[in-house]
Amino acid sequence: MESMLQGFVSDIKAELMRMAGLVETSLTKTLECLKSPQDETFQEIFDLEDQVNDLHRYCDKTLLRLMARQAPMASDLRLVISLLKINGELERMGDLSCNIAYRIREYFKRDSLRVGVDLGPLSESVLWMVQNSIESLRHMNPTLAMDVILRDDQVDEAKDKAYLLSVEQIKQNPNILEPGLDIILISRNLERVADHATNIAEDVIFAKTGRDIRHGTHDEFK
Amino acid sequence: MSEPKALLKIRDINAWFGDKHVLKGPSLDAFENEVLALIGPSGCGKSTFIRTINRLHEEVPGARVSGTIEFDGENIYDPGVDVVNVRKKIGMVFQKPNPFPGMSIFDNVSAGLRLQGIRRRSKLAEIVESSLKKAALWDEVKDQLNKPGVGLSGGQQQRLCLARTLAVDPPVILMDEPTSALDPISTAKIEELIMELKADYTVVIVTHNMQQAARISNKTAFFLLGEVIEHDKTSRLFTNPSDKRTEEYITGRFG
Repeated sequence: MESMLQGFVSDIKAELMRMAGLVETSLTKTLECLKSPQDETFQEIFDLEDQVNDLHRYCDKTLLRLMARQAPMASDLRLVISLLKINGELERMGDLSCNIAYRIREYFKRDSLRVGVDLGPLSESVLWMVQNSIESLRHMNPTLAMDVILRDDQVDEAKDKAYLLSVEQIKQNPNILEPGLDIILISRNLERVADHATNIAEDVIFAKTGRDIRHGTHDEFK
Repeated sequence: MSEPKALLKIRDINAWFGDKHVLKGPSLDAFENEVLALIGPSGCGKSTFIRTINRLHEEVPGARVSGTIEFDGENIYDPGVDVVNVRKKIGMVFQKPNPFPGMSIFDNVSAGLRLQGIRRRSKLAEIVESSLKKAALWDEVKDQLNKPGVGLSGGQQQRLCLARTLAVDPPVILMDEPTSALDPISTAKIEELIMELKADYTVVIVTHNMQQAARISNKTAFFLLGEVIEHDKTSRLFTNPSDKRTEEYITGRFG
């Protein structure tokens, strides 16, 4: 039997999933721009950010009211707290996607100055983590959430590699300092998007099982 | 820090109203300086359970009890145990405030003391004042101690009943939905008092208000169909209960 509270939670979760869809679209378009930068695509990404921000405010407000009026308990309480946190994570991801898009646009404005760093593997891992953290939220699936968390090490490695390669190339050719810094910032922000995906996965696990596996305490849970 | 002491060891309590078997063997411990909340749907046996703790259940015609309740090392159901003495040590506050009609505020609070044979007015006055202070009622009634207790507001009457219970200084206080007839301000006052009382007493409270159980108790026991389904720290039970039935009840899926 679904209680009144659970009905309200389902409605808010639907809005959150809509927001997650916009964030995923934003990131997908941003990564497309890494390969093929288009002015209209950049504009679409910046427009998506406004929609994400509107939903962020709406979900926060609705969850606050729900807590005040329905006083959720046990699994309902864990879910509501997790949704509140996930709402913040999604907003940050949307924001970072915009920052990355902005940086990509700057990078491609710098004429022929290029850095020989392939961000493909990093982008692929980050997008996979984002998509699957959203899927784990949609189905409240702790197993998939755990897979997302375990993928984060690959992202960290790819980001470190991009950093080292960029620094090496900047040293060899100081003329590429600015595009080199662009690549470092893009990879750093991609890694932060993955961190937010990890947080979402951790929140899903907490909501579903009551286990707090943050800050590297997931070994026992595995 | 020393280990908390189980002041009440309640074991295998079975209780009947005539042929109706309402408690089916629940066992619980209640510790010193602890507030233990009993929750569960209507008819689950929690009020009957609390009434077995000071032997009130057996006062109902046709009612029976079996099992043991060890209070401070003695089974209160042992033959020869003085029931009046049990109720002196295990006091009770009821759902509806029930000051003695026709008695002044002073006489209401001192009634139990006079039954114990305390007659000296100065001694009675001293205990009445300290009990009313503990019940956070003194400032409101100190100038009208000779007025009838029933003339007070509902919230004040309930605090008067609490003062009456505290006057005989029982180590255990049982409360059966003590705020269900009160407005939110009076409820908040009683809840604050319960939080203060646990410094000196063990409180066992039946409540239908789960937020109240969550706010004031250290441990909570969930009753269903005459049994204790789950008994755990309140912080755990209300965030991550172990039993599916507890989860379903506190999230409103049944009951």
